[in-house]
Amino acid sequence: MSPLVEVRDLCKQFPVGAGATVYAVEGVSLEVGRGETLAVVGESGCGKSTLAHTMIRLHDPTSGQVVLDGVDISTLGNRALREHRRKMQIIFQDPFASLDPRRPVGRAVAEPLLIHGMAKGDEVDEKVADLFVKVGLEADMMRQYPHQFSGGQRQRVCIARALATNPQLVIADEAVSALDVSIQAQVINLMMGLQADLGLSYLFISHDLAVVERMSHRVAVMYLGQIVELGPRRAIFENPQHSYTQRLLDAVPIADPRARRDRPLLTDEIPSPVWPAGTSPERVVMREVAPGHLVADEG
Amino acid sequence: MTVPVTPVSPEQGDLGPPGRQALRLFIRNKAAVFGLILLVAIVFMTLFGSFFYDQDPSRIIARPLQGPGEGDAPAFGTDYLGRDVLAGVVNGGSTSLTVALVAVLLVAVIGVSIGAVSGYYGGWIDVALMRVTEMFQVLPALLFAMVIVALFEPSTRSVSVAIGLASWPQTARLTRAEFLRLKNLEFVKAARASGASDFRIIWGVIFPNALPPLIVSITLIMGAAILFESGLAFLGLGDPNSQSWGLMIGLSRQTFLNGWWTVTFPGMAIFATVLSFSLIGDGLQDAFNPKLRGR
Amino acid sequence: MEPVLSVRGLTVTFGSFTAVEDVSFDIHAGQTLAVVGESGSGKSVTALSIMRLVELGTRGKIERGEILFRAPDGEMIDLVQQPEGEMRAIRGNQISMIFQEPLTSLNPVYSVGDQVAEAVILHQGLDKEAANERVLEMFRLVRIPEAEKRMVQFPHEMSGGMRQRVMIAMALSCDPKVLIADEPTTALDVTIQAQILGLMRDLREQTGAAVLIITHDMGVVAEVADDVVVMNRANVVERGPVTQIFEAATEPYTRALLASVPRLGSMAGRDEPAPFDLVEYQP
Repeated sequence: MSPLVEVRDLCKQFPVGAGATVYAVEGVSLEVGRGETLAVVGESGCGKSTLAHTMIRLHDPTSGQVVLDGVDISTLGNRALREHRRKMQIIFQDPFASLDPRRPVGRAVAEPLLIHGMAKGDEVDEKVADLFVKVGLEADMMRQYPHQFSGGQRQRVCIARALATNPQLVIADEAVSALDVSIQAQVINLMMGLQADLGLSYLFISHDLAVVERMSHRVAVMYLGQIVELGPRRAIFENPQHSYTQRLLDAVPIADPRARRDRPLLTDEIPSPVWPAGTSPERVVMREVAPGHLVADEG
Repeated sequence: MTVPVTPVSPEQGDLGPPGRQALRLFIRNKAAVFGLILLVAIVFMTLFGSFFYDQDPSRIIARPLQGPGEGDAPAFGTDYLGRDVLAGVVNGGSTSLTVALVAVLLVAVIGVSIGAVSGYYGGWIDVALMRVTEMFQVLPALLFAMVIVALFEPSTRSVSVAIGLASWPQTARLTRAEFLRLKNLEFVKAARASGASDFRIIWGVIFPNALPPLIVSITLIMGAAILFESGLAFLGLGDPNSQSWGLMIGLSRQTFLNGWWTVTFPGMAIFATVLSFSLIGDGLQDAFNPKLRGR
Repeated sequence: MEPVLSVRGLTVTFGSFTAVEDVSFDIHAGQTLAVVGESGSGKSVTALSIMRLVELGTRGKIERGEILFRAPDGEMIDLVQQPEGEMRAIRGNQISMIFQEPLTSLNPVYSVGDQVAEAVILHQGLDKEAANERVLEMFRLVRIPEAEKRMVQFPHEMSGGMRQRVMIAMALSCDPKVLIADEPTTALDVTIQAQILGLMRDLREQTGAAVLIITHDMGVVAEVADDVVVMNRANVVERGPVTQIFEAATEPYTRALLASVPRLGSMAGRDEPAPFDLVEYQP
């Protein structure tokens, strides 16, 4: 079976004055299988969020293709795009900012149903109630306002809104990063349950490697706009090949005081993805070290 | 660590202090630079104009109400008494500019102090100071200024004070808003945590950060104060012993149908001065907030 | 050993809301105490109370309790009873603090060197030249590369990690007895976080200061703490040495919290993703 999403050689550049360019996403190719979670990890500025936003056309790509269910959506016009937007939804990091404080939360969930003409009249309320139950909220909470909800509940509302159009792909852009750990664990369990029930695919954008290890099938490691390692979760976590992946894994604090490691007193930092006029990044060359496990060559 | 890509990070340093960036943006703004040149020219004319055009503006030199080029009239004609309009334009700026400058200083001192204290301390101090500010704000500014000038008889000093007292509430509110925004930022908390006193936090920490919008506002108020002074003078509430553009227009209001030049040239001087302040103010606004440009 | 700082029965209210209730703990020189909790647990208010910053600008009030601090002359003084003037001399000098957001905790209009120098001039009465010497020394201590060049830079010219190093340099510039770090690495990338945690561990050994670290991150606690205080809803739930908390927590809340912490390596050997085994906790 063909993958649900195929990203081919996707590039996104932003001009930043004086002829300089941010190469936010540079030649990224990846696939998301049906019912699969692909995690994209990396540090701030690595381009992981830009990748997600470009995939759902919040930005237009500079070049490259995004094939969703057999259709290249990277060049579709607005009208044609709308039909396909239904199939992929995004959940953002901040559940406080992504709900309108002056409207009952049920309206936020009903909106996509109305936009895509998927329900009418009483049907709308019924479907919204169903969605609320699905994400572990009570149906009559739909008449309450965002400020009456906790952060975790709000994120559940955002998930319900994302699910309203029966999407096949849900992009979670740091969707659990702002939550307290106990709430975070519950929301992750919910997302995994929904995946099992509905056969969803997730593109899970995160900086938190421990969370990614919990919930992903495959992992892509991004560094300065490019993927430097991509493979099955176990391969990435148990047998990381690229030095950046190793460094990232070494840096994660482990919640076990007996596993305390010596920290090298480094001060090197990640360079910026801004390139002055006339220069551009060099493309990495990926090599397959094991089935499905690709690693960028290091010079 | 070896990395597959080695971008040449553009020089991150040497952006310099935030003010220097603003200056660079300001210089690139053509309208603002034009405003600045215009203002410099006006100030130069006011300060040194009499060296180049040495005429006493209060002396009667020719027949009244002669237009430019008529008979023995000077370049800009004569007014209803036969005084030289050009000499008036050249010398009239000093009163207008002095009054506006003093008024704006007063606005800055009163407005910034009240706004800063109000915004920083909050609570009942804020409530009390803001009630006072509102009281001044709801008074019709022109009427209020006229009353003050009338009470203390018209002079450069009373007019300046009147304009200052009528104009500070806007600055106080702006300062307060800036202080409310800035006082909860972490660097203010950090300053407090490092043992800085309230005085130091208000003036050394928060105030420099509140400066950009205040400078913009003060510049625009400067333009408004010149108009205000002209308005008062036009109504006969200027210092009768001084020369001012507003006064020239005011005194000519009976006769200007017989001599357009008596009001047009001083009017243009006022217009040019106010315009220069507006352009500079807008340019500063854009320079301090590049993101807001083109709104 | 006598503690450097001893919080006893601290209760802080905001109007009718109790943010911190009857909280007690001790901090010893050269030791790191982590106060851990989720949002709204009262951990940050506790830190601000020690600095007596909770009453300023907010409606916070220290209702009850003592915050005993061992002054340089060996005498224990109660910070709750100190007048604002005394506190000003203590803040940034004997007890200093670093904040979460290195982006916003430096004043954008002054160079970073001037900002650190100002703290030194204020508390140690050094002249400008001596203060700059001290700044240079501190920048080297926190391993800021090219310290001389960095001193004249402005905050916006630096990365988040460098800014946090500057904050740490500023906090340590007057040799404080106690360093309070409120979520010092939360806003940083994981590789930078690792560097800063390493630096903080190293500096504690070098300076002998007592460190109070406020965090929500159990990973950070495990990395740096000697002792742990777990807070939930304004109260201390459990306290103890770090290994005891992680391995033999007795309180249901602590156990529930630990169960929800994602741990790197916990999935080793498993092919499929797995949900968290959550422990039910009913308050």
